[in-house]
This record gives sequence, structure tokens and C-alpha cells, in this order.
Amino acid sequence: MNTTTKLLAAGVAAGFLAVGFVAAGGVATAADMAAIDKRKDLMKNVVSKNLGVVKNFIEKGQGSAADVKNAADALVAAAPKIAPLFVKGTGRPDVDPKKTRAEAKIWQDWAGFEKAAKAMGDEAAKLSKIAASGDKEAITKQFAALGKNGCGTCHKPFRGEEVK
Amino acid sequence: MAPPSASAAAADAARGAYLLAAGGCVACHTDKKGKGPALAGGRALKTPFGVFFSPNITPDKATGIGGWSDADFVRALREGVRPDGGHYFPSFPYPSYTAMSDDDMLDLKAHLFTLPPVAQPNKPHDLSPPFAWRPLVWFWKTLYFTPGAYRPDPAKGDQWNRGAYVVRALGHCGECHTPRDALGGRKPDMELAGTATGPEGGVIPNITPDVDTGIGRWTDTDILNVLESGLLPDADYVGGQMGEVVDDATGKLTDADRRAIVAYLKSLKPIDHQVRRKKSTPSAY
Repeated sequence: MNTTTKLLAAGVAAGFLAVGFVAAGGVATAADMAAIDKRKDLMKNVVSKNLGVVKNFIEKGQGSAADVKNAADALVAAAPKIAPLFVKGTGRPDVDPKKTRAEAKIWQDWAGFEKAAKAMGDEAAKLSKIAASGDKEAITKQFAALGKNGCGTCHKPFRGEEVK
Repeated sequence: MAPPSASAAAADAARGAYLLAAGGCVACHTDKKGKGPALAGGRALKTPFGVFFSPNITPDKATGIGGWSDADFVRALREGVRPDGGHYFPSFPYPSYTAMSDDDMLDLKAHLFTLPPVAQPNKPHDLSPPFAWRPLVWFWKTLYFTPGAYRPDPAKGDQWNRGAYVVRALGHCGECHTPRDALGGRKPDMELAGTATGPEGGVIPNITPDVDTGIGRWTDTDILNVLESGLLPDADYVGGQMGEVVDDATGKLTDADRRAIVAYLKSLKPIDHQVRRKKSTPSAY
């Protein structure tokens, strides 16, 4: 083994050690970081999209009560996927605040965060039941409750300012 | 003890409770993160000039405003001057509150004096030099501050004038939504046009009716929704500081006042000012 190879091997070994050390220290890996894109995708393309279906039904008369029910069911299915995508170490201040608005408080109050994420599913389940009845006034009322108790309770304490 | 003045006797504490909400007083004067008592101050406000800590505005005689006269209270809001004659830093939004009516100020005081006093000494501000030097504020005020109650524009209707009053005086929307210059003065020709360097370093959106960079595409319902519940046109939901504003202030307004805000905002001159990132790169979660 020549000197260069030895140095290289030592470097690689040191690298593994460093990675092992870092992982043991609880700092997020590249795979963990992918959770940031996944949760953005979930919130934008599933949660916001389906909320938009309900909003458009209420405000513009678009679609039907059946569409509202489908959207509510999609929100029920999405709710349990939220919290697991907030992997420890993938929020502020560990990550560039331009990449995420997830506040450190999420992990300091994990039980509160999980509860808030779950609330969206509970409120959406109520909306699904109400949508089956087709009563637009009741749908409007439950949509407001969903926003307040299912979205606001999480975004207000746990989501920081947008940074440019 | 001197008898209360006629204006104080007539002050309406119930109206004052509404003004406390509409004025957004609770959010800044309560240290929610530290689970501090309501209105007892101590909340940190990070700015480019350093960290300000809000004072105690409960009626505690020693540490709050319990010893203040009506005149002291009006002078603080109208002129940004403390009972001892010192100038307030404009982190206290008196450049907006100055436009409140005397009646509103006294009703607000009447309500505050019905609340339980909390003994909690004020924390000194932690400012970078030279901004910590309070006499400098006098100079700042000569440059940027025009005291005086709002005078309704007779050419506009009652709703528009009410909207202007709620947005500019009580709601002090421009304190965050109007960009500031290097000395922290609001740029008068950029009113409500948003800034990428708002309080806490956040992006504060342009709320003039510009179609591309402001809220020009928003319907009345869109604006009412965000004020009432925080629901945005794309079915996102506000968080952060506007989330607090919705909880403590705009969500508690009457529907008539929210509609007045809509009428006023929609009447503004659209200002083309891009402060947000393009929608293709959401940083939302």
C-alpha cells in the first residue's frame, strides 16, 4: 500500500467515523433533509389543494357536495402523514430559514405539535360526514372550524416568518 | 385626591375592550413565549436597531401605568412622550396611534384600568449604539413624526374613512407592511407596499392592490377571510406574526370594520413592489 492509498484509506475511515459521530449526535442526514421537500409537497399538493376544492365550492359554487366529501377524505388520509415528515434536525435553526419555516418549537413541544396535526384529520372527518348531507351552510361552518382548529392551531405557534 | 375629569367619567371601558383588540395591544405587550401575564410587557421585538422589550401596561402603580393621568395617557399615544417627558422609541407605534381620537384613547385607558394590576418591572431595551441614546429619538421625530388625530376626508364615504382609521391609526398596519429607510422611518410613498426585512426578519407582503405584486387579484371575500380567520386565497393559512394579528386583533373586529378595511385597501394606489419569492419556490413548511 503506498502512502497516497494509506492516506486515502485513513481519510475514508475518518469520514465514516465523522458521519457515525454526527448521526449519533442527532443531526439530520441527507435522507432526513428530503423530508423538507416531501412535507412541502404534501402541504401544497394534497392539503392546500383539497382545502381549495372546499373553498371553491363554498365561495364560487364550483363542484358538488360529493367533491367536498372526497376532498375531506383526502385530508383525513393526509393528516397522519404530516408529523412524521417533521424529522428532528430539519427545522430552524439547524436548517437555512430560507428552506423551511418549521420552528424549533415543534421539537420542543412534540406532543403539542402532533396533537395540532391530528386535529386537522379530526375536523376533516367531521367535514366529510357533513358533506354527505349536502347542506352548504353546515359545510361552510365546518370549513371555518377546520381552518381555525385544524390549520391555525399548528401554523400559528409552529410556523415562523417567511424569509427571502 | 382630585376628582376625575369630565372626559374620564364619560369614558366607556366596554368600548375600550374592543379598542384594545383592534389596536393589537395584547400581542406586543404580552410575553406569550415566556408565558407572561397579559399586558404586563416583556415581549422581545427584534429589529435592525436591537431588541426592544415591551413595557407593562397593566394598572400597577409601581411598575405599570396605574399612576398615569388621562393627560399622560393621551400624550403617550398622541405625541410619543412619557409622563417624565422622555421620548418613546418608535418601536411603540405612536406614529400610528397618534391618529386615534381623544375619545378612543380615553376609552382604551378606562378599560386598561379595569384590568388586574400586575407587578412586573420593565426590562431595559438591548439596543446597538448609537440607537440606545434616547435623545436621538427627538431628532428622529422631527424627521418622521407628524402628531395629530385622524381627520376624515369629507369627499369619501363613512366606510372608507372608518377603514382608513382602522388601518392607519388603530390597526397600525403600516408599522409592518410599509418599508422603512436606513433610519427606520416609514417611506411615505411606499405605504403598505411590503418589505423583505420586516420585524423578526420576515417577509411582510405588499397589501396595495397591485395585480402582480400586491393583492390586486384578491376578491373582497379573500381579504375578509384572511382578516377573520387567516385563510389565504390559495387555501394556505397564515402563521407567524400575522397569525398573532389575526388571533388578537383582526379576528376580533366587527364584520363592519373588516369590510371598511377592505374598502380602504382596495381604494389605495397600486404600488409595484415585489417582496415575496415567486410561488414556484415555496418555503412554506
